[in-house]
Amino acid sequence: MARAAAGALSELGADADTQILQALREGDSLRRRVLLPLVGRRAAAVPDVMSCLEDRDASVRALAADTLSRIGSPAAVPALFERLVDEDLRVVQAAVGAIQSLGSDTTEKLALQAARSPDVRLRRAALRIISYFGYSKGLEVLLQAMRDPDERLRDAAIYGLPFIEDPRAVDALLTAANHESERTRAAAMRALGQTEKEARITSTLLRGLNDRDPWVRYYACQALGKLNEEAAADAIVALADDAAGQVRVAVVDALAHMHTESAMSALQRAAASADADVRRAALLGLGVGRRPDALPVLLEAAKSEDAATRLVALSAVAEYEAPETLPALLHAAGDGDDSVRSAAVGFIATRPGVPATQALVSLLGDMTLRERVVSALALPLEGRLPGLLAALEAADEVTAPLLVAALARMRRADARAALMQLLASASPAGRRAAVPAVAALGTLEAREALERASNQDEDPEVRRACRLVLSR
Amino acid sequence: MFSLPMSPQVFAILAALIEQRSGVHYAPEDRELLADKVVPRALDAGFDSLLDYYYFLRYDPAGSEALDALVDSLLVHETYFFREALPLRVLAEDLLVPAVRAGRRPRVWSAACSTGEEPLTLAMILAELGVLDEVELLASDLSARALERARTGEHNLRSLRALPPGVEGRWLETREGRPRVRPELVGAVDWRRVNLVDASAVAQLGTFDAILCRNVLIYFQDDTARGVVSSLTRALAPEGRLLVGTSESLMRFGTALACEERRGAFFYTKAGP
Repeated sequence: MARAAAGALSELGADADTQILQALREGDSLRRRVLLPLVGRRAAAVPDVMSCLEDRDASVRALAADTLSRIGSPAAVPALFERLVDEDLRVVQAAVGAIQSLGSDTTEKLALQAARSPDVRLRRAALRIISYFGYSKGLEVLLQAMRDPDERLRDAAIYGLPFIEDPRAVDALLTAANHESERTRAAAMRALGQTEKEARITSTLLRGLNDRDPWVRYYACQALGKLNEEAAADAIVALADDAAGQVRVAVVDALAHMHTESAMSALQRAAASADADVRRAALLGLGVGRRPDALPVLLEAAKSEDAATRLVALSAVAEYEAPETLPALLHAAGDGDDSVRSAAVGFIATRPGVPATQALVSLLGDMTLRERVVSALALPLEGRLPGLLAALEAADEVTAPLLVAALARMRRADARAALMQLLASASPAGRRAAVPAVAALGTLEAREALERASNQDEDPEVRRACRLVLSR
Repeated sequence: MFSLPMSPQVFAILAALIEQRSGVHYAPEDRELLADKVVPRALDAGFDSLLDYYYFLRYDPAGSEALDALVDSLLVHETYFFREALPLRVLAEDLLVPAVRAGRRPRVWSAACSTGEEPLTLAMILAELGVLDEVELLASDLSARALERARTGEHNLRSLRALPPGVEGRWLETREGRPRVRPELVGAVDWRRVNLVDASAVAQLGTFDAILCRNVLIYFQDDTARGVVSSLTRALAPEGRLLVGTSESLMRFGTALACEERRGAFFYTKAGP
């Protein structure tokens, strides 16, 4: 019931704001959970949404933080800081995210104050905020947190250091890379991947490749890849048979960033590995490089027996602008696995051009994909409009209304013009399907076109449909 | 909301890992649902990438336990006493009591018992018929958390929503707002953690005169369900009965079991020797 009412309020748009806010004030947690996503972006809503930050249901509190972020009022920042000690982690995450997206004049002061709190959770959240904004005044608290016995607090400080522009930040990271705690060394390796390339950083990361802890080796590998440190390629390849699975994968991931011939051939070898994760990482890496010689490997992997591998290969194939791409994606749209099928439609949906539009139209016959395909056709990409109009010329009674629905959902002037144009097209099925959509435009020009068609169209069904909508 | 992005690729490999471990299938439209469960765990474990977290679950020595905990949080534990009770009553009166009278000690397995309401309902029916001590009851679930609850005999008030008259006070009582089943009933059940997808674990349990596997197969893909039904069929003694939920059917799996109706209850029966 609450959901149905919320749906109706949503249809009303801005007119419903007053009712929604009143319901937020008076409603229980369930109603608030349904209504918060419907709150419009108006400053007047902020006090009522802020009161939801105190709701007894954690998902409502998290949603309230999310809504405040969406409204965009910095006045909510102090209240959001209070939620950084919420007992529910989701609320803390949402509050941090909202504070980061809102920013404000008071954020720096509040964050620095929170970073000195005796409450470790609050300090950790505050460090993330300081890091996000890169407050230079935050360096001291980050350095202090790095000396804290709490490992997770040290982690938070380490992740923040690359975002502070101060040479002392890099010095501290290099020190952390030698810390006795494996977790701290791993965090330092990961953070070094976010810095600028420097000889002392590279040599620290190279040392990390030989660390006894697999996660330190994992992040060292990853960081060298991110820094595109091609000189480290041989040292990285040497870990290809590491005992730890995550390190073997990180090797492949790192090589994907390096565009040397040896890295590419190592990637091609990894694409045939018996380890599914190594194989998938290699396929992703080959996709990133978009080299023509990798495409046959990817197309072959798109026929793998393992659905997750097919999906990964397909996402790599989708990166290519090659003649083989669209047929491969279209073929995958008929895959037996619903994840692969759905991803294939998603990849075709984002491709511009008439051929991609035609490919989507050809999928309308699949009932399981129909709604997704119509949404994809409604994306206003280059080639959509001419593709849809051409398809409408030959569409049958089932397909034509779907194509018209896609045109109507575009909500663009050229799509509206195309709908009007459709009313005078050669296809009776297209004209019949266009009638309700043209009527929904609600313009004088649309009404005149419908009146004309109601008298002059050669198809009696079109004339009848026009008279019906005109009589309403 | 602040979150970690779950790409279709990461969703595919995570969902495959979860399905491999538990049999539970996630369709593409469940991506957000899965992300809601996984992201807080990944962040809590100190990962800021779900791919890194996946490698942790897959390769780290602590990953297996973390995967179990994740799967546990994904399982549906919704159940209640005397849910679809007719087949249990027919099983007890028409099959188990005659077996006991014939001098046998029948074995019954509740294969996905969650917090224990189903095997305890059967235990109550058997106790009422005076044969509880003569029937061996085994109850299992994949969720260690749910089993822990079951072993305590403590339940929530929602589990009483279909309770027939005469049960409360006799087989269970509510103290401080929490229903508690009598300890002798809880003690009559052998509680075990079993993964139904693991055929060798199922085989180790021996054979049963009846297996209850109700409202479980709906969470599996057909291939997984087919494999589970095969394992359960092997675990049935000749003329043993398999009970599935009223909304479930084994027809599409091409089972060798024969469908049989008794007083309005349906059983899948294994052929005799």
